[in-house]
Amino acid sequence: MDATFDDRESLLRAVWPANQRPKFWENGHLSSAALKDPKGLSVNRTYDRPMRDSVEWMVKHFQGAIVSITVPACLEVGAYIKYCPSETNAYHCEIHESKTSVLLNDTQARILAQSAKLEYEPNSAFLV
Amino acid sequence: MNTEYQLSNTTHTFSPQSYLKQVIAGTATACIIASSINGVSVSMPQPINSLESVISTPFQESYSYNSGNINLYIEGVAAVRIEVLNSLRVLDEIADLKDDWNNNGASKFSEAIITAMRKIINNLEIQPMIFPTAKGSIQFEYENNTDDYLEFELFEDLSIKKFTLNHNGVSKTEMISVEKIDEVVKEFYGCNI
Repeated sequence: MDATFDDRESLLRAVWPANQRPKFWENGHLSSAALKDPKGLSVNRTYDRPMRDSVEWMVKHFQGAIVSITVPACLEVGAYIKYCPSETNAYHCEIHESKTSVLLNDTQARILAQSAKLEYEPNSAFLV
Repeated sequence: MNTEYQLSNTTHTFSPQSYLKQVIAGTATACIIASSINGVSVSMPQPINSLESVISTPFQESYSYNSGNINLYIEGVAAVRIEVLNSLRVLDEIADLKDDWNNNGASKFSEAIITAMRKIINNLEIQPMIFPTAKGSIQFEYENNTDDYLEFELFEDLSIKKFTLNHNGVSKTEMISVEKIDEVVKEFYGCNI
């Protein structure tokens, strides 16, 4: 696995479940507030795995709903996807505003939030 | 402590804790039906059924109630709309966040920003969706029926940023004063940005 991202890949992020605060996924939409992290927006790439397998991995390791954002959606808003695997997570990446700026700008955050797709909700069936 | 409340044309005295818990729980009707006097259930002859109904607050001085994740402030005899109460409830949840609430080092919110946001909520005629951000701001946002988007961010230094993204993809960011917020929101719903 390297830092090259295929257009068919998606990036998965866990958002807080409804029974925990804060509630970022509401009325069928993700708030852009969930994507504003000055330390880097952590996500997991699907790489060559089917979405279902990727989501299952997320569910095992994180709490909350799982949403996906596609690689093309990130590229379309000029965001930079940084591949930064850890010892325990080979799929870990971060979405940055650009190569030189970490925090997504307001437009990027809003458009990416709008494009986010709910893949899994706690206490319910997989949506993928 | 028992406090006097006036609901419609009737006046009842009961524990503010039981009253406010039910207000927080949802509808005014639930609150009224479940209220009690010194622990004894009270059935209210004139339940308020509409979410638009106002809840009259104690005649006495300001009252503040805090219990775990419930934290409601009532000032004088001002009427509080359900929508405002819901926004205040969300704000209280944000106020309860601890350091590292996002598991990535985000800081808790200061009393100053919570107080400022509470004032904004109380002054807004149309209530927004409210969220914390990991960058230390409180974000409140609106969408109208033409897919235009209006967002405000209140920062720790109490400055306010306004961000708009209209349905054609045109965005604009500017700093504004707190006094302008309600006017901007009304304009947003009155015509396209």
